[in-house]
Amino acid sequence: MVLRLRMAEAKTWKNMLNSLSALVDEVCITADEEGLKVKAMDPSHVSMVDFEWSRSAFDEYEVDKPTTIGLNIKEVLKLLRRISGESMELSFDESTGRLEMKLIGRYTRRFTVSTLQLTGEEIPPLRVEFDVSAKVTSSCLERTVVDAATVSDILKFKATEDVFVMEASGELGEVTVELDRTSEALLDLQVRQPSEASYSLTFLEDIVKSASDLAGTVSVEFSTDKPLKLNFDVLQGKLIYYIAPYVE
Amino acid sequence: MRKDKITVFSRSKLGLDLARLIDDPMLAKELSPSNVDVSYRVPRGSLCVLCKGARMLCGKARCPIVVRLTYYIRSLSRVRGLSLDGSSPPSVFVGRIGYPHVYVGPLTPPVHGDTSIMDMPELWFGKPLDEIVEYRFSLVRGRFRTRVDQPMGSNRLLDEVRDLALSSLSVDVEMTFRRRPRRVFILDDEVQPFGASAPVRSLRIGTLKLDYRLEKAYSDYDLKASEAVLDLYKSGVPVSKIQRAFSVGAFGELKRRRLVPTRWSITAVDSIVSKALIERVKDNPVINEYRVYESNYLDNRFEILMLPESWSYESIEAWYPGTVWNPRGEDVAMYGDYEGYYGRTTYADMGGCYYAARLAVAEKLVAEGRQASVLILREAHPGYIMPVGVWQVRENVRNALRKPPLKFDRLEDALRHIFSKLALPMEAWLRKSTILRNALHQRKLPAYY
Repeated sequence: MVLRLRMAEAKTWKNMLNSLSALVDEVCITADEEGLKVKAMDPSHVSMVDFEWSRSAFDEYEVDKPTTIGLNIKEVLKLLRRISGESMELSFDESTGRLEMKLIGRYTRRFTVSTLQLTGEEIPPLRVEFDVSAKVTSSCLERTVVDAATVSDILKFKATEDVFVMEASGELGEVTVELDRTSEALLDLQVRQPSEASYSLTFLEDIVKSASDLAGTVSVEFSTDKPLKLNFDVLQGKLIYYIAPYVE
Repeated sequence: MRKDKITVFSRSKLGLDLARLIDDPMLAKELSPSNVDVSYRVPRGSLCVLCKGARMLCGKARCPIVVRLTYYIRSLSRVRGLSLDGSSPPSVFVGRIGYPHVYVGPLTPPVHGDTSIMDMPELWFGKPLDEIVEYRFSLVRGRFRTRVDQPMGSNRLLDEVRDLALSSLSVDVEMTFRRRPRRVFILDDEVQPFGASAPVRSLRIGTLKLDYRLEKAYSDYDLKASEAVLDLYKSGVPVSKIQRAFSVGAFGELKRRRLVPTRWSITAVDSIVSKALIERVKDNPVINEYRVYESNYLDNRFEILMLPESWSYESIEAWYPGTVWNPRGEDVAMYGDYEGYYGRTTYADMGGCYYAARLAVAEKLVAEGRQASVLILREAHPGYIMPVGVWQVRENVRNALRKPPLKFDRLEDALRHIFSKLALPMEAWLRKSTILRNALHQRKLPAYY
């Protein structure tokens, strides 16, 4: 069994793990001939991540048979805190169950971590149709979510023909962000029928904070009182989150 | 703990005599301190001076100050002169004022024999409030000031106190004081009961029999404090004993050992132990139904709801709800804190009770081998005339969880039962409770497969 990956920027690997750490502490990564894949749900079953990193994202990608690696991302991220402009080589030894991360810069650092035996349950696909799809800049979404989280724990998304609104209200006050077709932050808006739905800011905040560094834009898709889909436009792969609705 | 009650104390020490304090002449005479020194301090806005124990302005079932004074005077009238001879349960107190320069000292009642129950909250559950107040007030505290990181062997008094804290049995203690033990009475209804204290001149401690388990951790200079706490808990040492040894700095790597104020050490031990237990809970299968556990002690009503979900925890307390006495009418004082599956990184606003109850809950789930999301609702009613300590919460919740639960298939039925037992309506709790709101409103993804 061979699993060896090389990337020019070690930071890529760190960002990728970061985007998963929003939902889970432990994760099961599948590597096959197409690339790396992760599908994971947080312990409370409210949010989910669907992640793929295609082999073309790597400078070298060598996997001879599909392999799953269970990782404690929290611990791995602690090791990766001090990386800067280095390149990285990942290799996995199935017999010892150890993952090696070799950081190559002005000198070489080699981190070896043991992997976990995780019994990842197969997560079936969600069957939801989305009536609204709004493409916004991820910085706009991030700012809105952080602002909203200061007044409430619920963020409401609303869309009509020409306007996409995000609003939150709590004891402290209200936050409203209104985007119409003229605003620069709104790149595209498709509305099959006017919809509104609310989602937990606890999940939104964690997700948006860790994912918006990876993509400049994000598609926000939802229907009235149905799950939310956040599709971040990452370069070589996909990064999609789902959050179950909060229904008053 | 009620935070809005931490008022600024007026600096003036008023020499109120008891007749001014208490309207009832018979009671005043009975409490009259012939040979006991009592002085008072009045916080700003205190109702007690107006009330004088007769008008029940605080709304409580009995006047907490009269109760405290009764036991205070009863206990101190047995202490003659500048010395005290008695058996310490064992008990020590480490203050927090002035940290890292704190007051430390042994607590001893003026009686001999097996006094261990006086500092063993695990045995207090079910006892009437008066008995607990009496325990508290019987203990006279000798104190001296020291730095928290004073090395071992450099202060003889401190070394004696540390040994005392590790004893497995009551210990004979002889103390002489620099002046007569006394206590400044703070005329506020929210102060915890505490006995008299005086600066120590000398201290003699009788033959000790150290608890071998505590001693083992004590003499291990490489064992981290949190690991020591967990080892001791696993070997069955009661939390109150671990906490006592923790407070005198008996655990940890040698150079990092230090005194920990009693109040902090109680919460530290509750927090360390429950955190470790919760990690085990997360590996257990989730319960299959909604469960309600109940307990009512010292007029503290607990309703505990377990939901069939992955671990999360919330604790909410309401003070004196639904009485005309609530000073702010509808605005009942409510405090609550929540943690999700991955726990919390900040200290819970509501303080030690959060961690004490979390320990009781985690113990139960580990013992049963199950996992659940747990919500604790507590109402403190007027019969709870003064806070007696965090142990009340820990033992009250433990008591609730010892009994078989009421099981419900539907959340609605569980809630209907709970709110038929509590004075505050569901809406009030809903405003505070993350777990309740999520249970009612937050959908889950598997519903959309």
